[in-house]
Amino acid sequence: MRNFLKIIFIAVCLPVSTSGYAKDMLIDVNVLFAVPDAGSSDDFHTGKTLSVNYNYYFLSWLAATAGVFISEEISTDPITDVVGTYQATIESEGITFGLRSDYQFSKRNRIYGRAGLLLYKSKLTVDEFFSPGVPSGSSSDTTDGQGYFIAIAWAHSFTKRISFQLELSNMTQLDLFKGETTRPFDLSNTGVSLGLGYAF
Amino acid sequence: MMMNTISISRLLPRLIAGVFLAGSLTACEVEVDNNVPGVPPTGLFAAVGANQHSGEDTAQVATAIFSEGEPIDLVGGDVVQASTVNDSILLLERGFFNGSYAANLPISANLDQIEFTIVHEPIEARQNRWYPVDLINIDPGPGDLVGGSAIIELPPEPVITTPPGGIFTSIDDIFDINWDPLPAGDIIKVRSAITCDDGFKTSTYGTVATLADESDDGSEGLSLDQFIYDFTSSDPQIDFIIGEARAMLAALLSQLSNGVIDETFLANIAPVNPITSECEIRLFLFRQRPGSFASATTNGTIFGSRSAEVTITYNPN
Repeated sequence: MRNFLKIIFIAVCLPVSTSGYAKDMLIDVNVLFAVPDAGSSDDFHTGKTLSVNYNYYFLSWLAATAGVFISEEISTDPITDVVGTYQATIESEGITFGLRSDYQFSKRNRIYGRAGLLLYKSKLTVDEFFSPGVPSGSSSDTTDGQGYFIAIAWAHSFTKRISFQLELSNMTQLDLFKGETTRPFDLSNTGVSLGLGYAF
Repeated sequence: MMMNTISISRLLPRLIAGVFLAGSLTACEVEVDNNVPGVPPTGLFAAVGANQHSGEDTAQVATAIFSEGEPIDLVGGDVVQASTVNDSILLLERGFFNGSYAANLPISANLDQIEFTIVHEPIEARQNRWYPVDLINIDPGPGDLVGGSAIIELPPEPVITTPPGGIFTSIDDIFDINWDPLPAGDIIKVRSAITCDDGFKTSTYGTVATLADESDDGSEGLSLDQFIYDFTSSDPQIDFIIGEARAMLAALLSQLSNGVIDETFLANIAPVNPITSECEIRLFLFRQRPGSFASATTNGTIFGSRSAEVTITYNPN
């Protein structure tokens, strides 16, 4: 499945990269502010995820989009239970590919939506502290897999080429550590992203 | 209107005195802590308890370990396991008395023996966490207490024969509580959870009945003044439930009400004067049997009990 998705990603990127058609392409850079949610009492802080997307408009309103993303280390609150006090940190990177559809409703403004699939690589680290005299420790592991993203947004053009965009976005990584644990989980990042686009 | 005026003029001094005395009672005489009594300031001490109430298919089990007078946190995967021959459970929740860990252990019919063992289960002890603890786990290894164990035997449930319920009108009233005796050397405890209502406000509190003897002889004489008191009296002859017993009764009330009744039930003492109010008295009869620690050198308290309940009513009007 993962190899199949990579082939799709390359198939999308190659024709786009060989085309030099002005105004049909848009590069956008976004910062997503989101609280990761592992579906339980995880209590993650808000974290930032940087993404760069390359959009090729093969119709005036429809583009193929591909991008990369990388998050900062995002930690949970320290949580204390009967075993100890633990704090988890997760960081992710990956690639995205999908479609973007725009609707221009005034000379400078448009709305658009983006959706597609993603491939991720994530690292989960847990630091744990016990009572005095019992050594604390840290453990981490890395996993990769697939997921999806979806966003709706508003874009405002400052100039003919440069635009500002505001997205409501969700990126979901599916089945982290599946095959390695009896307790795989999904990781959802829902939040607001701010970005700039450059058309050429 | 005239009656109201007279009532208020009569009641006002009582009300002021009542509020004053109730304030002094709650501040000075009524302890509301859940501490285990008798914990020595030095050395190791363990408190282990289990109770199964009539009709319940689980026993409430709890244990706490103290060192130098302070409760020890079991950490890193060290955890107390309570087990019968059919079921076992890890005590992963904070328990009803201070420093304790607790759980509800399924008790199949006619199973009486519960074994408590301190085990090292670094994965199972973290089962309530959200991340894959079987993959990402920091295990500091077993602590010094791992391997310690104790055994409790639950005595048979005390079957209450009388009173089947009744209405009493004076705190001077007396009655007998009777149950099927058992010549096994168990001891009997009577504790109460009381709700008094004057039509406007409600008091809820708990008491411990002082028994002539605690032997399992099938009968005990009780008087209403062990449960109902006059808070305008400067010396109410009543023993409010405190410490470990209070915590255990609160936990039992919570279990029987599916969590509706919490620990505050036994501490809501002042709002009304019980002697002038209608009160529901839930009497809990505990048959208690001492358990044993595997190591003869272990210092502590250990008992198992089964309990039954009967409700009587006090109505002075």
